[in-house]
Amino acid sequence: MTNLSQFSDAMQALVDKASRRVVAINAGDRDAASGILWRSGLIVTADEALGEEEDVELTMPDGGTATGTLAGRDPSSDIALLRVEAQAATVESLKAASIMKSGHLAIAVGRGSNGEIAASGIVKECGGSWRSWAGGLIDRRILLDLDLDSRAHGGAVVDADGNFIGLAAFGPRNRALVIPAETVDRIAEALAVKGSIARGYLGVALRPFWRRRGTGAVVVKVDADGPAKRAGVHVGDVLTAWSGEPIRDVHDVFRRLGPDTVGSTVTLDVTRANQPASIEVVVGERPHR
Amino acid sequence: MTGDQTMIPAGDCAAPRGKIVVCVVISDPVLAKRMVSLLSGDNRLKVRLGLDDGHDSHVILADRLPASPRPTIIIDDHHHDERDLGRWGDDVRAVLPSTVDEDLLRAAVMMVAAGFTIVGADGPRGFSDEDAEPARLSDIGDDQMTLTPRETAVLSLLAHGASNKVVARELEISVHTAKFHVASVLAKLKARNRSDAVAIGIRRGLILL
Repeated sequence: MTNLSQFSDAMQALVDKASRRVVAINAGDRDAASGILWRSGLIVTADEALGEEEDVELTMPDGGTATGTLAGRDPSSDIALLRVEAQAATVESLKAASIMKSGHLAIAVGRGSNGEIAASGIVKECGGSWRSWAGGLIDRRILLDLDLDSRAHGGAVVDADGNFIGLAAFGPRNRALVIPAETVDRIAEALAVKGSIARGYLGVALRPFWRRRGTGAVVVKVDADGPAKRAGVHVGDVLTAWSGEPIRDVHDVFRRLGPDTVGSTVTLDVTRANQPASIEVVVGERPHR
Repeated sequence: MTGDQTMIPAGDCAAPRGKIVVCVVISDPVLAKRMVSLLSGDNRLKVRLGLDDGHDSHVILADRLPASPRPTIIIDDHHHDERDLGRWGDDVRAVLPSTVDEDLLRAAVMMVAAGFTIVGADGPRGFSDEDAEPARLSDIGDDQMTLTPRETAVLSLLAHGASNKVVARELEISVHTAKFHVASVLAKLKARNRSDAVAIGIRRGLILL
């Protein structure tokens, strides 16, 4: 046996092992996606991959079918959790990959209608935490040097020991990225208990504002029971900075109101009738209404 | 025109430095006095009861179209619907009912002084009332379909990442109806998916952040 065939067999064994907890998600007329048996009876997948369907047909690792029911979704971290009742849904806990650096081998495993879908590459980039478009805190920035099949979206990414790096997802420009294991655990645990993830809330509706001296967001509506109202924000105020950092547009404010901001105090720089002012606001939790 | 445009203040709007001079030109003395008292507690404003025509003021508060071409807020109980804004002419930036409260009137004065036009402000309850239509600004095209209050509530839940089931539970409607409302929101906003609808809703000021 050559070294190359040994490598090939070892690779195949890794894919085989990982695929035992990867399911196919057949969501209506959408392209199929994949999901990971995270804990017994619970499947994590990419929120984006799920689309509008909330009850989905699954192809389990043993080839059998089952119905997955949405337990909760968090667009800010792109994680959705499904419940499934099936014999094949009983699994041991996932072993998370420990040290991960750029250059380490990464294998993405999904499941399609014809079985496993595998891709291999290396970790292209591995950095610190980052914020998604909706303000979700992603614990590590992991980009992969591999061609991710759209059907493997939501599948598992494992390292050379078969340990779980995270959930396979698409970043901007369809680049393969990983939602790391610690983020998956944190969000999925909260979704399993509460069904949704809290978000920060000021209680203001904003419109973009532009003028020569810089951009901002003008307050067009204030929630009478909201934190902004309590702090003395008025309709007509132009928000220009968030704790010293310039507010570029309305979306900037949304992005800054991620789940971990609830209860924190921020200093908003506002322009009121052309006079600068600073207002301290305690970020509340987005109400369920 | 779409609702996604950046709001660019018109030419006269370099928001005034120092105090904003408001001239009240209202023939009914009781109403005029009420307007002055609503604004008097605000030290950012200098309020004058207008014996002249208000030509050196930043904002005119009037019960009829004033002679001076200044940014004007009309107090009128019969024509404060946004559809009526056009009939007043270009200088009129907001039309409010006489029952307007302190917060709304001050906000309107601040915004008009800063160059904005306010449409759809909902009477005495002001911008801040959750049942009111969201305050809309003039750069939103007329072709934009407005969301019903129910759809606005659904959009707000989507910003929370709510599933159809959560929407149904929170609004006490069936999952089927929730699905219908979600689809309607996506169609009206021309959104590709939920995340897209939330992004559009944020830009248009439809979602409280």
